[in-house]
Amino acid sequence: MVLEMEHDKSKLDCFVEDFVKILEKYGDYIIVSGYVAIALGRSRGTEDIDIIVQPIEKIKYSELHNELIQAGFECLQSHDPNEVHSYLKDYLSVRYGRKGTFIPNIELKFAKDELDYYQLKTKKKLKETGLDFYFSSVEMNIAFKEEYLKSGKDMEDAKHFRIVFAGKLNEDEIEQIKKEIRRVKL
Amino acid sequence: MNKDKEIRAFERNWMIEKWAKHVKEKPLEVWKKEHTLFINDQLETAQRFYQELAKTEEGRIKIELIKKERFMTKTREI
Repeated sequence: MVLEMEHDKSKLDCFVEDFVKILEKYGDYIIVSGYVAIALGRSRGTEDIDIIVQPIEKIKYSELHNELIQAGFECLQSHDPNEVHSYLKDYLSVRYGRKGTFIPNIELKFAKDELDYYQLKTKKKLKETGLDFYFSSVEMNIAFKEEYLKSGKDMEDAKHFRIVFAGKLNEDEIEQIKKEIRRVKL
Repeated sequence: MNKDKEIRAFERNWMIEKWAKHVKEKPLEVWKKEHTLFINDQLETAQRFYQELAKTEEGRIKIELIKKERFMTKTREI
């Protein structure tokens, strides 16, 4: 079920929707980390939404950046699309907010390693969110939060996932991803 | 951990479990309405705070410092 009534979506959902509607025209993307937990019902705030996108070449990125500006977004690091692209190319993240504001903001990064590409390859629309976005899998999010991020907030997100998806999780996949995280990231 | 911290951690844990069970057991259209109210409220509170802060010169300097500290640092967590 995709939420059709606008009033059922939060302001955060609408913000993400406006951004990904443009982004998806330029490449595959996935939403990862905190907003995945929030979209799946976790009752906590966030100021940023993490998105990984497949690398986009400079000219095409410039078009994407300009389309985002036309739609009322602005990049918090630079107004120059070439400079923004150079950060992304160096595998740094850049942030976009609505013009004149910085809360909420999208933290955008290019896919960098095997795990990022694996997440893009296994992207999912999670029907439990009622939202028409691509997310990384719940198993992937649990593995990252329990094995890599590990802050109090991340462990609470993982706990939330484990309760909401009790009986539906692929524990072998979670363990396999944790192994890959130790190999690639640690 | 002292007693107060222990009690707070227990209560926080209890709330997380209680809400997660609610999300698991209730249909999307039920929990989503409650959730949207909470998320919108949280977002509006944060935005209001910065709007108020931006009304003074000192506040605007603080906002620039916050932005510099949080967004101009070249980090990549995941």
